[in-house]
Amino acid sequence: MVKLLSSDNEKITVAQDVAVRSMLIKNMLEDIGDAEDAEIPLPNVTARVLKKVIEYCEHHKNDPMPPAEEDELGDERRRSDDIDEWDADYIDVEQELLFEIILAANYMDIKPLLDLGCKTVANMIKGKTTEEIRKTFNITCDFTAEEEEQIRRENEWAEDR
Amino acid sequence: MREPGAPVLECAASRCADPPVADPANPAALSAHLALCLTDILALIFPYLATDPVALFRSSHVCRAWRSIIMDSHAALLWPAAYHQLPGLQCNDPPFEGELSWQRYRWLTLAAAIRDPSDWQGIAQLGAQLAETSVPDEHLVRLEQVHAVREYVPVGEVVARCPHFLGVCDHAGAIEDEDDGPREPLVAVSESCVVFEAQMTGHLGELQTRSVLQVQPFSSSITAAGPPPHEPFLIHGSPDLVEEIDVDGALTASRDPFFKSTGVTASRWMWAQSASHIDLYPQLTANLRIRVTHADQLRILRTSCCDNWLVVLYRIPLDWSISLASDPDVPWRHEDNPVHVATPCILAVYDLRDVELPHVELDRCLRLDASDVGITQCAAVWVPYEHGLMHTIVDPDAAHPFAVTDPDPWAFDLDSHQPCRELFKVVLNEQGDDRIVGQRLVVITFDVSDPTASPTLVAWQPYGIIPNHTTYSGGEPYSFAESGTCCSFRMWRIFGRILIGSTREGICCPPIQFARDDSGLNCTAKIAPDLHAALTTVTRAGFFAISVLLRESLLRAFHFNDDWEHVLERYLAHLCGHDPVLAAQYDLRSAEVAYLRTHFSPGTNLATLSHLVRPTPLHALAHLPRLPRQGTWYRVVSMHWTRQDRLVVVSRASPVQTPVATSSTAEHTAMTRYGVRVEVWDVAGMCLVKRVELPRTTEFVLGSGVPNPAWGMVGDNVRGGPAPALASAPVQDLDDAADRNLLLPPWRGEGGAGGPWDDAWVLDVLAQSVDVRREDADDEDGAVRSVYSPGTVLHVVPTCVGIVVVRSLGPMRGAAVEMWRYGRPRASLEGGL
Repeated sequence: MVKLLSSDNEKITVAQDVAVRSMLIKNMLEDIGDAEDAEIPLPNVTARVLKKVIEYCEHHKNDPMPPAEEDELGDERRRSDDIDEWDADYIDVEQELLFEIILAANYMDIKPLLDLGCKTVANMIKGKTTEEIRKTFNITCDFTAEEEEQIRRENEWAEDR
Repeated sequence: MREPGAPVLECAASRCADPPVADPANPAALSAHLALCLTDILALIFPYLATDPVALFRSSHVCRAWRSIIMDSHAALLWPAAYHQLPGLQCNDPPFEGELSWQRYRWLTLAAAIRDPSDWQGIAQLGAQLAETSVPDEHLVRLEQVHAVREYVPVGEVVARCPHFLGVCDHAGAIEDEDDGPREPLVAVSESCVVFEAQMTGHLGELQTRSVLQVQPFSSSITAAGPPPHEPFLIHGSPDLVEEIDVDGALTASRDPFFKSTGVTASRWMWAQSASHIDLYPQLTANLRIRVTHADQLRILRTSCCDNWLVVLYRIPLDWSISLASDPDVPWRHEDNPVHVATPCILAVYDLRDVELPHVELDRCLRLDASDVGITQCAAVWVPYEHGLMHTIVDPDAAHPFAVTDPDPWAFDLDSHQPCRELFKVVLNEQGDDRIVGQRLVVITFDVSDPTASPTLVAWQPYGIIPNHTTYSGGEPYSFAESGTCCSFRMWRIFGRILIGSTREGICCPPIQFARDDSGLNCTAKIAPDLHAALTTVTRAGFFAISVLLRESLLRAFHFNDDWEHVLERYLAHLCGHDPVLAAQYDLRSAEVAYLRTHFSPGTNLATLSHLVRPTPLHALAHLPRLPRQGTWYRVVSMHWTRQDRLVVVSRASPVQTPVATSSTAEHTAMTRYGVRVEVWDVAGMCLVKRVELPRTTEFVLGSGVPNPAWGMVGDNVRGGPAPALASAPVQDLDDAADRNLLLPPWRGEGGAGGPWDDAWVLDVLAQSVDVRREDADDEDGAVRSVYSPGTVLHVVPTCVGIVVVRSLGPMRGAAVEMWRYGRPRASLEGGL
């Protein structure tokens, strides 16, 4: 078993085969060796998010590990419409938690979870106009009036369909 | 491994990096999550948008951080990926000429995905399907591919790389115009590029949904001094909502998906016209589109464009014409039927001389309104006709567009007509009809001598072609020399001050007749103020007034009354203003005078005004000799004046002409028609310099499930040797070589020894194609297809620098565009053609 310490100081114990889905934890475990009582601090992940991440790792603990490094997404991996049912249910969360999961997956180096989060965000972008994207994600338009005009005209090409 | 607690992510933009504010009571106060501002995270999200370039493009407009990543820092990864993901393109290799920069990928992606993704995708998928063996039944089309002129990329390579290329619609697949027979395909050529309607041929249903123009820049090897070659690209116009009047006389809206016309000017513009707008593109870069529309979204009827001027013919708002027809105050005469009266049109001129284009990176797309670049409507005038819009510039230094010889049918008094200003002339004609004698047209002349001033309307000259022998009636032997023109005209062209009319096919009148328009030529010429005011008051009230004033010109006499002699009498009377008896019929009636008084200023002399809008008889001053017919009717489809004294005339066999040969089997029908005819005339001497009959065209219409014909070689020497012939496809009615050659005109290699036009080069590819298809010979789902033998000339366009020829490369192998340049010395003209 592995003890994880969240940023809000909650200790969570998980099976090792689940914990090592995170490359960060796996590497740390290798560094600290057999220190059974050691706690692995995760100062960027709250307990709420950590539990959600562990839920993912639990479900996928038997999946083959992804390749260590991939420079670029292949054509297949660029698809965002290949999310399986369990993953779709899993990631169907409020937007803030979604992004926290993405940040946690990035920090803990869990590539499949990171991909799942990014695909979900990409799917939220697709089919929306620029303004709808801003509204969806509460993004403030920070262009100057001049830039805005230039963009408006560029965008007419996309809207004129 | 990252150190726990280390700042692993860097914020890319400060303004959206505020921590999220969780205040459900005030959703507006929420700001973006930190993750959406982090370059590393965004760089992981955006690649998933590569399958949707439009989404990627729109995302680049969300905020500066996103734009920076998509358009700059990560663009080199994102856009090539997006390009390769374009559905249907299957372009995993660079499309042409080596590796592309990622900026070019970005541009290509935007060009392909954003401008018209549905059309592009559909075309691409269809092209891919046709390049393969199975073609769905509904695709009754022929795929023709066009690649760079004289840049003979092996056909198979072109097909493999660019299955989305389509060809120029050919004559046989063209749709019928209302009155002019088959519509010529939309092909325009300049020295630097060819613009054509990349439409599906052979299936009229497809034409209803296509509105794509492809621009194919020529190779730099042709235009050595020109810019470097560019990739081909599409321009398009989205379907427009246009007004129509239904059977009950009510206004309805319908979608008009068609380009009406397209063109390329000498050096500056490409343009495309749809129902409600005209898009101008700087030549060879389609990343800047300037849209010209009328403020009231009037429907566009015709367009004519050159480097410095754009002329647009607008239809009046339909509710105006409805009101006119139903207004009890309008003084219609008792025999008038408003339904059969045309309405005036609005002719607008736009000045393109001082357009300053903003600099736009080639990988960006920018759309501007005309006013943004200083394009404004500088003149508007009422015109009575809506056909044959042409314009020309009259050079003040050229009294004649060709050398004057003696005896000179063009001679005129230079002292009284000394040209001293640059003129801009526009011509329009009424719709022709076989039953009417002659034709009416109007020439509008603007003075454009001052480059800083708006064009000044200096003449508005209506003409009527009038036969010398006015009592001619059908059925009697007719002499053109004695009696003058008796046929209606099919088209008019204006070159400088020279009007050239081509008549409908017949045995009586010369097919090409010349007249001259001197209106506005004299430097003191000035349009009457009253007429100027009447013609340029483009308002609803002005429309009502001008409609009454132009009543005679707007009457469609040939539809109005079946009484032929009465129609002819009315028409002639309209032209013969000098005949007091006839002219009296057309003087304004008191009711009309009273009505017009309410629309014009009190001092207007309405009798003079009525006289000024009455056509002046226009007699042909010269005509080309009518040569022996030699068995088939031809009709002129295009003309071009070049080298001051040469007229290049392209003619096609009349669509009513019976094919030269036909052959039908259970599997296919073959029809051989006469080819295009090209003539070069010396217009000073009125004599033929050269006539070339291009090879006959044979079209094979193949039934469903039938493999393409096996194109084999007769004889061993393939280069310049005997014609390729049908080796296995049965030709029941023709069983010897001579007859086969009739169906398959000789293919002449042009590349010389080892040159790219080696027949084998084409036929080997075809043979491979046929072999593939034989394997699927049992496939009953094949489509009906039309195919041509290699080398068949599908289309000919005369230009100021040469003749452009579009040749088929064979069944589903595409087409090549060649430019045959005119020789400079006259002697070379013979050899050049």
